[in-house]
Amino acid sequence: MTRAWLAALALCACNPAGALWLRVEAPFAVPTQVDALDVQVTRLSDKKAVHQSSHAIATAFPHTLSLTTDDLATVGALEVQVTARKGQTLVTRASAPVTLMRDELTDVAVRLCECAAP
Amino acid sequence: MLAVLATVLLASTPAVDPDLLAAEQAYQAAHYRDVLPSLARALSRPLAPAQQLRAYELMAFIHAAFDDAPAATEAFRRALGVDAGYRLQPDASPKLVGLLSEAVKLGPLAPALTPPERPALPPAPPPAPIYQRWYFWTAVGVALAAGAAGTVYALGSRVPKGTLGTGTLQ
Repeated sequence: MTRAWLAALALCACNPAGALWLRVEAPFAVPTQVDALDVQVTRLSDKKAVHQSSHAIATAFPHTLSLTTDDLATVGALEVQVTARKGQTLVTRASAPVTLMRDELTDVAVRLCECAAP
Repeated sequence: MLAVLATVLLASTPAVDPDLLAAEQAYQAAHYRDVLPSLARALSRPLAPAQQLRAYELMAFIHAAFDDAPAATEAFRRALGVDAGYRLQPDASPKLVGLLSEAVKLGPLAPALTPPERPALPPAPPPAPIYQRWYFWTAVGVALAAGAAGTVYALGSRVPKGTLGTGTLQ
């Protein structure tokens, strides 16, 4: 019985509380116009940045990123911001709100466009 | 002679105890070691007086054959308790005659009481509640594990790796 409980707890412990599937779309040519993306996810409840990452890209858009969390506190309202760079130069930036659902894979799309002011 | 008498005696009885019959057959076949256990089983049940008498007689013969004089004498005394006029056949061996004489001298004994009826067993305790059974908690554990595994599978299996890879939300 103890082993069954431990197994159950172990499985529960490994279970992500939620997951985000980010899709970045942009009309830019890679890598001539954009060669890197910065992703930042902010938890709106306390304005805490719960994810930051940078990615060099060499293939055409769209690009995708999966993000998981074991923290139930992160389940809820988030803002995803994506910054497109060419080297160290900011090309454009866009953000999108999303509500991360518990035990679900939540889709969010961020569309970068040339109209967005840096 | 005794065997013939016993056979006639038992044959005239409407229902011969099966263990007494087995003892009789073992005695006739000279399988003496098999006689006493069958007699013990037979005497544990109520027997007709003739069968009871024959059982004690056979018991005395077997004890005498194994040179257990005290036990043979006691068996004869119990036979006398069933039938005070019990006597051996005229062609009985002097050894048996001497043992029976000793039994007569000591006096009859009441036939051994058959084992009392076993007291009724106390009622079985009520079955333990389901939540006190080991298999209940095992099933709960398995169900939780399966549920958790299902959730992991359901969510984990749906989280593919993106072109930018994977990451975590703190």
